Amino acid sequence: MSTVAAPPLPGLRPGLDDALLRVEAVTKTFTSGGSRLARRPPLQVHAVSELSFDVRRGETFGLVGESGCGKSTAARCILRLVEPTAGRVVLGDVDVGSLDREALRRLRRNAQIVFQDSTASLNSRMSVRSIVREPLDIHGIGTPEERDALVAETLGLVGIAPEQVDRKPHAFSGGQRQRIGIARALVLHPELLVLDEPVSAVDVSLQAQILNLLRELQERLGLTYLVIVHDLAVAEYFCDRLAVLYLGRVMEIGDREQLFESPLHPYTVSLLAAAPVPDPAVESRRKRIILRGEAQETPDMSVGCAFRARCPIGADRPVCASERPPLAESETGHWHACHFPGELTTATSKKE
Amino acid sequence: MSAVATEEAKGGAPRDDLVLSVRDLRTEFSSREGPVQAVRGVSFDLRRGEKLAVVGESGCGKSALALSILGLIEPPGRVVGGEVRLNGRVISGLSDRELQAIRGKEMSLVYQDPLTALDPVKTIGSQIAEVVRKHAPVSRKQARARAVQLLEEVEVPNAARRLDDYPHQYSGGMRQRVMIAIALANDPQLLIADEPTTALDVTTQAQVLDLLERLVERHGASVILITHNLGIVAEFCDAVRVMYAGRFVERAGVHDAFARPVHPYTEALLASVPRPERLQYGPLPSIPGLPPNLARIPAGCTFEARCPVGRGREVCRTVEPPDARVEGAAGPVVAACHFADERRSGTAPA
Repeated sequence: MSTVAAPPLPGLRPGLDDALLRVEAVTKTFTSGGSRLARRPPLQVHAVSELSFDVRRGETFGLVGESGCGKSTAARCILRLVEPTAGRVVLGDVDVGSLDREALRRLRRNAQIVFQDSTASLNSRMSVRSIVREPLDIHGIGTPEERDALVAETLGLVGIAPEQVDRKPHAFSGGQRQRIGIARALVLHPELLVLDEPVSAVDVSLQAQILNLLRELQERLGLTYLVIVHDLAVAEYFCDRLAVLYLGRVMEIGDREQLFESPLHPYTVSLLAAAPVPDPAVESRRKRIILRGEAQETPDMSVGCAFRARCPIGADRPVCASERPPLAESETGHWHACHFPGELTTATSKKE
Repeated sequence: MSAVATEEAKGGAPRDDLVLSVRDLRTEFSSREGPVQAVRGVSFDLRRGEKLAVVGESGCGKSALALSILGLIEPPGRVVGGEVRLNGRVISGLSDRELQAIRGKEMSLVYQDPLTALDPVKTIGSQIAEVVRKHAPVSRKQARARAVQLLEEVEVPNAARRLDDYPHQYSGGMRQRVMIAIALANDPQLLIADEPTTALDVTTQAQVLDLLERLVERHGASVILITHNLGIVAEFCDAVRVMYAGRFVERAGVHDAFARPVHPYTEALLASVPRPERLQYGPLPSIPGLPPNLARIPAGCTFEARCPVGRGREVCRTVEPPDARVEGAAGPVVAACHFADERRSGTAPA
């Protein structure tokens, strides 16, 4: 299969020649809430709407936003754990959507996911050794001896001691279970690891251990990460590049410095302003922007900006209600979907 | 700010503005391995209007402490010692019936997960009205009117219309508002909030915290906020108690705790929060190892095995550190560390 030239989609970096993952206008629509009895037409929910981004080899790309913003659906579309309604996903030089079952299975060796809740995603009746070995068995990799060696090596990588490998998941702490989940994903030597809220369920002291481990593994194994994260402190610390999603749509996309130092979209700014900083001196002079209401898909959202109902600057502006702001590039690689980019700032919180 | 960590160490005389006074509280849970000591001799005072944070990792005993104060510890757990005094009256050891008259009236609890705290088959309105009627001789109609008022106060849009909805029809943020409405229904003097925003998105968390801040001020309630989120502590609280292995290891005003933590555990906890400016310094400082098993509390300092200052030191391995009082920039700081003085003056062995 040959590489197809990337169409000029907003959100993509032109001329990026070492992309491992390219997501092109991926859309996923669910239908919900219809009732013939109540004569209520079903609501088309755009879980993900025309999402485009690319991830360079060895890069960490973050999808951030509130729950319901579509970040998990996006990740599942990329791995084809759910079928996207439209759009294209290219991993390496393979169009993921074109694959048959068998080819998709082979592809999954190369793209693995680590789930948020390690308690739910690890089979409680299996030993850690069998849990990590299972992917090798499924994919028929190596001889039994080679598999054992690979399992031991991978568990060693994530810091699980050899004498612990016959225990079951419940004998481990939350942080250790997360390590086991990482080992299971790594044992197939994938290039891309999708991390779904990798540290949101662990304590702050263990968060640091897991984040450090993921960094170290990335360096050592040349991994590419796609991270789903809602904690902006973690996102800023961990990601090289990020997309901010709101109700399935990209509000802003850019490198870490671009997004955190000069955010352009009022939603990005609001998210940054909402996160309390663990420093009372900063807190006392932090600019508070408190969004009203909640992220909710409404029928009138087919026109205008998806964020306008809660937007601190656009709620009353006609253009925000009538025209959907297209994703526009302000500087190289920094995209935003706002009619009034940069108007709302975190100024008092960022500048001392 | 100076009233932080004052007479609480050794049972000072009760003062008028004391809402809650806890002395040497001990709670155990029985387990196959023997008694798990979840709370090991906790003492503190809470003044009127004070907002106190209890922070620590999961399993440090912070939720057990909250439940012990409220008299909600259930078997296999048991409060085995100590005294809880609310508004001058000893409430530890009261019967369940007597406690029920106090809970929801003088003190109340906001849980982390409102979905498990609310009854799924009763309407929001009836659940609020129930709490109102339990503690005040009012008619159903009056209770219902009060419920609307309370929902309006916690800023639930279209309160009157949403009164007859069920919990599942509310979003997570709205449910937490309902919990706050229920907790504040009878103007309690003490509100204990156990991870009230942990399950919420950051923007919803900001809304709920902002609301809580305004309401406790209006109602004049004192708050114990249990959390692991240090950002919320910095935003919301006046004083901090850092809990580790069932004990308070540091008590300080919020500014001292963040600017110059005395206990190495407090410092390590703060350092492990991801901050981008740390990127250039390599890996995030993390705390090695795990907290001790509370069924087998080690001799000496419980943090010794993980402590950058005390690991391997004779005194730390063998002697449980007493509370040491040092002067902070904004008041006294109490830390259970053998090297508290040296750390405060910056001469601690590293």
